[in-house]
Amino acid sequence: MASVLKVNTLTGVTTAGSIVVTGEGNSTTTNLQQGLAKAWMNFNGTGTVAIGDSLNTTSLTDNATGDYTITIANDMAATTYVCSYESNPDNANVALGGWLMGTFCASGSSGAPLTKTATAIRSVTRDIQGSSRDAAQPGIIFHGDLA
Amino acid sequence: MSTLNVDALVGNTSANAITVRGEGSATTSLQQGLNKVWCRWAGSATISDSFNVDSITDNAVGNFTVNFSNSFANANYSYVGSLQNNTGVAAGVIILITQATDSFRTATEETNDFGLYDADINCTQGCGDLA
Repeated sequence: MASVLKVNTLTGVTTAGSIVVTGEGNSTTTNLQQGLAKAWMNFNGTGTVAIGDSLNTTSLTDNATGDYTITIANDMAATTYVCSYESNPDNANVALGGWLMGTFCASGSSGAPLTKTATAIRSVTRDIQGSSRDAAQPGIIFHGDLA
Repeated sequence: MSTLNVDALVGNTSANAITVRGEGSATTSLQQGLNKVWCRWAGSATISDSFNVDSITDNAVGNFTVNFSNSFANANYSYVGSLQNNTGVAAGVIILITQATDSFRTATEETNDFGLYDADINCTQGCGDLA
């Protein structure tokens, strides 16, 4: 018979922010907190931007064409978190092919990130020719340490 | 060290809500932080590993539908993906075409001419609310 634990909050005993979980292979362990996505968002990036669904975010700002700021509710501990993106063209521009979304940089892809902070990230979506484009329904997922 | 042996976790007040203490002082949601689906497959639509994926449909060259075992509650889940190019393809990109509660459809395109192609490896993951 399966053992079911009913609980509202999980906190590590030795270290509050660290709980070990046995992996699928039954021998190696992993870390519960480190394995959780700490924030994610699905949004409409065209016209009047709008959040579709999200975790741990407070707002979405439309700075310019294809230029968005996602603000986190409970901050990350540092700016070294990992952020994965996905974007797609809207129907009007689908012939321009797949689009790329990345951290907003000072000068193209080699520039230093301008606004990746523990509180927010600013990203830009460009088509393959490098022109800024509004993405139809981008996704973004954050992994890292919460503050 | 304190070890708890358990097969399943269920929220006590609300079955679908368990709070987890984060690395610092903030808390987060166990259910909301879990990836609900991920999949790694070859361009031949052969799944090498996955979670909560029932099947892959090969719609056309560079065009796949990933079908879930357990559906999402809505189509607003967050999806990201990446790929490994074939020999001879300078650069490619995997994009989301459509999202449904029980599947999503992707395309892999060459960046030089937007031509669809079957990448060697496709990887995707999604976070959101399960039904």
